[in-house]
Amino acid sequence: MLLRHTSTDVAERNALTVNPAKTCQPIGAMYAALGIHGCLPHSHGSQGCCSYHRSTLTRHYKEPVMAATSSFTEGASVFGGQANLLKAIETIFSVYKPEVIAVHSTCLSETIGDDLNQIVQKARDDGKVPEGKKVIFASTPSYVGSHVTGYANMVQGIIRGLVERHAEPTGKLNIIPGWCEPADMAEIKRIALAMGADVTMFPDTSNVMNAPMTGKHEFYPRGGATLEELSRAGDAAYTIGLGKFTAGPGAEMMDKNFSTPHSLQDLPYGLAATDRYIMALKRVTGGDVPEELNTERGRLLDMMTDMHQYLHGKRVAIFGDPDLLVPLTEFLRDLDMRPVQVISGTPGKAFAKRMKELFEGRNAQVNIKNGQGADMFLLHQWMKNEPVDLLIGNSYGKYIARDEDTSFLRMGFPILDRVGHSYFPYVGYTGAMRLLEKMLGLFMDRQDRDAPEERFELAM
Amino acid sequence: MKTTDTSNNVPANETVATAPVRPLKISKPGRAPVTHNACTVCLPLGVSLAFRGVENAVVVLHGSQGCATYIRRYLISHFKEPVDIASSSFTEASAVFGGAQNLKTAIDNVRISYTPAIIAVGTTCLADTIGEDVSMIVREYIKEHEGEGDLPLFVPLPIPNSRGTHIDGLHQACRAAVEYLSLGPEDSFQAPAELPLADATTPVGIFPGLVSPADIRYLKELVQDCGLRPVVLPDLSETMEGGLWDQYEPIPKGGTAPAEFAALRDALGTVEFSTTVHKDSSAAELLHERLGIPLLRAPLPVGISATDRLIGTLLDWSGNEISQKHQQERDRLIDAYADGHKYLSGLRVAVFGEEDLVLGLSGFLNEVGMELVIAGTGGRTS
Amino acid sequence: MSKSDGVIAARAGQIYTKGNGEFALACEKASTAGAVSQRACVFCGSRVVLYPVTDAVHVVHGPVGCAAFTWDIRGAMSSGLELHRNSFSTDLRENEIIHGGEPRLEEALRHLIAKFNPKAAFVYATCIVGVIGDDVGAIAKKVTRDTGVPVIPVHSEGFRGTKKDGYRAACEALETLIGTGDTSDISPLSINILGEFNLAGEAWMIQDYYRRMGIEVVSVMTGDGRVDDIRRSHGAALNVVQCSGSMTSLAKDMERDYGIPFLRVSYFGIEDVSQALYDVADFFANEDVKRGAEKVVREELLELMPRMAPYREKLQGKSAAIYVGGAFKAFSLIKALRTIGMRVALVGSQTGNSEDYKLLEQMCDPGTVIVDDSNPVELSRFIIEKDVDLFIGGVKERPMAYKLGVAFCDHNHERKIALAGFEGMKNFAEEVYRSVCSPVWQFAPRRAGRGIPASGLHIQAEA
Repeated sequence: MLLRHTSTDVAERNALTVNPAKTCQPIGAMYAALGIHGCLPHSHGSQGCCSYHRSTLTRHYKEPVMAATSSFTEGASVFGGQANLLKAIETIFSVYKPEVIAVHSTCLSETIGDDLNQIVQKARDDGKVPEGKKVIFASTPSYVGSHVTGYANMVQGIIRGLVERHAEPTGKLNIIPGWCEPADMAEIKRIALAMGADVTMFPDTSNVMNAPMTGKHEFYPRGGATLEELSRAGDAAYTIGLGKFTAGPGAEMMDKNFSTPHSLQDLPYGLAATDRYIMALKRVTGGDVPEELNTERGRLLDMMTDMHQYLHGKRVAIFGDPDLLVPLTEFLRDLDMRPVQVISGTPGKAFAKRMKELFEGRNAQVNIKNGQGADMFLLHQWMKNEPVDLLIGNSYGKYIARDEDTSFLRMGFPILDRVGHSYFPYVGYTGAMRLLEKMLGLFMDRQDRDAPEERFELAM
Repeated sequence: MKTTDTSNNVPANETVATAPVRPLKISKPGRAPVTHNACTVCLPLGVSLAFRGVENAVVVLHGSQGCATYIRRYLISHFKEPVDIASSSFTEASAVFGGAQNLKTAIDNVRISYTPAIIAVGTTCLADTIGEDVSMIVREYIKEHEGEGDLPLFVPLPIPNSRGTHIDGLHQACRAAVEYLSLGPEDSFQAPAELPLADATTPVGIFPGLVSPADIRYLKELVQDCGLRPVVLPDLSETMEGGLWDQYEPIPKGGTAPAEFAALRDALGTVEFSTTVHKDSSAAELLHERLGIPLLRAPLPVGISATDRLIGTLLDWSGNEISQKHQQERDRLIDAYADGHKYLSGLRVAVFGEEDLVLGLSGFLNEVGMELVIAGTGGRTS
Repeated sequence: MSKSDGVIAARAGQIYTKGNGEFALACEKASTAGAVSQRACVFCGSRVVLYPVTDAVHVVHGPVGCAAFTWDIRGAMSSGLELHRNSFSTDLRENEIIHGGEPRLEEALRHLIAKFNPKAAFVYATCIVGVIGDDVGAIAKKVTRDTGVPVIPVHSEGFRGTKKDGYRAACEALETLIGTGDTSDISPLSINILGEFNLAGEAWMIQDYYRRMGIEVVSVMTGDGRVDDIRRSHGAALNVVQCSGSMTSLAKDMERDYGIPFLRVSYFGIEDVSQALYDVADFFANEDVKRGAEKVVREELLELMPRMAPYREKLQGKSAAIYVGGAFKAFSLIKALRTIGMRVALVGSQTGNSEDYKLLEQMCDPGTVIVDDSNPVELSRFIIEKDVDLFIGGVKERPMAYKLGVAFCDHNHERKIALAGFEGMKNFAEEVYRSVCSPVWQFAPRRAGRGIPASGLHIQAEA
């Protein structure tokens, strides 16, 4: 009974968040920035922010995460952080030699009114940015949106600072993946390549946040979108954004700034979303879907049909980020499961609208809440009132899962107490098979655990 | 971009020394008075499974109906795919007077229902015991049907059931398949001469034993990435893990194709995960004896050392460097070992299963610091 | 040999479409060699019938396969000992094939009896034993004499006929126990339940109905079976036989030897289970029992009927294929499917006899295909031709149905929910609904784009 204070009476709360289902913007900006090759993220604020973000990312990805900070002092908080940031840029380029510094703000620097655009420009003017190196930035106040917003903001910072348009079109396809695991990003790219697309993907954290052990400490692992690729991204033929919240603003910006037409899809979790992603690719490349992908789809479908009897009617509570929740909920729905409670701390009306569309005409009773008041305490209360068979979300769900004795699948960010998420994708057809495998494993393990001896059976 | 430290690459041809293993007390493969909850199933299951991985082949088991049905049921439950295996459906009369006629009828009916290119004829303990000679019956059948244009190729498998477990059956059936479909037996029923010649890329034979369709897909990909052409037998990658169908497919698509059997003759080398199977049951040994094809016989490659050995051998044969993809996979695995070792250290493990699986897993457990305390197998090798 | 449609000439007489000429269906034949019959063998028949006897050891005398393949394959539940869920094999090898397996069998029996002290030991003779000439009977006698534990040979050599002959051998084995127990305290209102194997606890449900009617159940053969109950089963006033294929011979023998009459019943579907209870009550011609039966049926139906409506609404007009072991089960399934608004387009069995098929023909709608001892090639062809929404069968049929995008209900060994009795009818409806109305079929190539409605999601799972 870790959460023994959770009651069943749901009261309206306006001022208090209990056990949040989100975190703040800068960590999203930091993660997005790590998807640029040779990039050192920089946190413009107090030292603590940067340290918390680094340690959370390290705990989740089990990788070293380098990031610098402006290390605000009391003085900086009063007089502004410009001097700190200028000094930092100088030091970073001379000591750590990154290709890019990606600066994001924090609640403190935003509140005192530091203007990153102006400071970075001054750094360039003062000659603190060596030839060929870049400094980009994003405004990421913690009191607006969530980590999801921070990711989207840094994606826009990348576009503003690194993408250019030249005369000659490259005919390439830009893919902006929303927030997902490095393994997911690699899978998204693999599918696009299999469809015959010539791809520039950014951010691309594969081989950065799941980097192999090479025997050396590599400050900048080999993965990530390169400056060279990014500088030509404005000449691409098309941009596909995956995830309205994390990739949408960036994809729209590509359209607006560089007139590359764009299409916005869900992150390809589950069969239907992967179908749509592939169809979007097909519209761009004009090519046929290769046998390889058809076979993977067939195998997923075979697994869905083989196992559908074990999934029917299973009640699920999910919490996490909108770009994960929407396609995941759709997949659960298509498996005949019953996503009944959905919580996201990230605000935005578009989310509730998409979720409602998923259940249109289906007479389904689903509790959906996001933004203000949508926290894990509320989710726990819902689950107490209407128990579920499965809880899906990040590691913070483990307390509720333990208290309610509910099967628990870790998905989302952060996952602090398991491995695998950064190595094996959940997106695409094979990713959906992994998701199925995990869910079925949980249901069957539980059945085996709970079965009285006479009902404990070899074939289930 | 920094380069990877090359000293860390997969050793190309060095034999990997086995790390010191705590001495395990080995019980002799003696016999208990009664087998209580067996660790194995019977030999014809392995035979049947082997030919599920051969293109356009159907297995007929010479014996009682139940053998075929139980084996089907068992394989279906595991793979969750349809599995058709024919039976000569012995009656009491066949048990007394011999079942040759039943077997011939079975072959007739399989030809009608399935129009296979290959019919593999396996035996069961009943047929063995009453002294049925499936090779002879098949020979008679071919003679009686001489000149029929659509006569399939036959692979008789006179492998006595009492000689081993399902794993032995699998390997012995693979050996027979190679003998008949790649080499042509000495008293050839039908020479494999019509088989098309191998194409230009250099083939490597893989005899994986009992592994999953996904394992087989991985092995094929690995061989390709080493610049070689994989010929896997049995190739269950598609036949035992396919998608949904528009029409019923009595024989699912996929499996080792005739051209691939032919290609085995030109193989650069063969790999067989079968250290515990007798030499006379090994397809790799057969190709080695007859054609001098080099071979690697190893336990199932689980973990870094064993996989290094496999990849090293393949690269040695091809003369290529390891691809970045596999190097990265290896590096990432080491990363995972490092991230996870504290959670595994000193855990005591019991493993049971087929011998080469147990051996492969034991090596892996040893690599990650887990302690193997009990290893069980129903196999009969020492 | 016509090769046009893959139907084997020898099998033509075992397929009939209602309305196509006069009804005639060949059956009770040995399986055609090479036809990939869905049947198993004699051993299988004996093994499934005797398997639920929980306090006996079941020793499979033969090479390891027969024991390995039948290890805990059937959810026949026990309320006590679970010896039956072990796999014991003499694991015969080359040496015994040449020199005989008798010494090994004797050693195995002595070992098991000493270790587990079972109430009895069944020894299943497999194919090999039949041809190497082991005298299982002599060994059984010897060990029985020495240990006092009855050792019962089961003559189940795989090649000695069909699964039905295996049932017969199992009945004969049971007969060696029957008549050896004390019957003094048995009520005149008493029955044996025959042919009920307690899959998913079904025998417990049925027993409960009878108890509520005031009837004593002396033994269940063989669900949750106990050797001591079987020994005194000859003291019951009536044998109530389900799954007539497997147990009718035992009932007939008990009628002959002990003068116990028998009734054939089915517990599957509302109509049949009610009928079963009424028939038993009628037999005893006892007003209390009759009122008891009426009360059970009334109470159960009151509980059941409202819960059936939503399923019927969803399933109305859908079509099904049935392929099961015994034909008697098929009768009940046709009726049960009608109860939930579904029609039957294909019905077949592994072991039906000509009487069974005559009755089936009468029950079916015109155009229904009736088939005996079928195989994957035929069944898959009918699934496509008849375009069914549901297939009811066993493990071997399941992947075939799924591959073709057709829902499936296991009515064989691997069913995990009770389908018998009143509650079973609700479970059956739910099970069928869960699969037929699953949204996964919208993606199946054969059925994609047909606007298969996604599940309503509004039928609440039962608490």
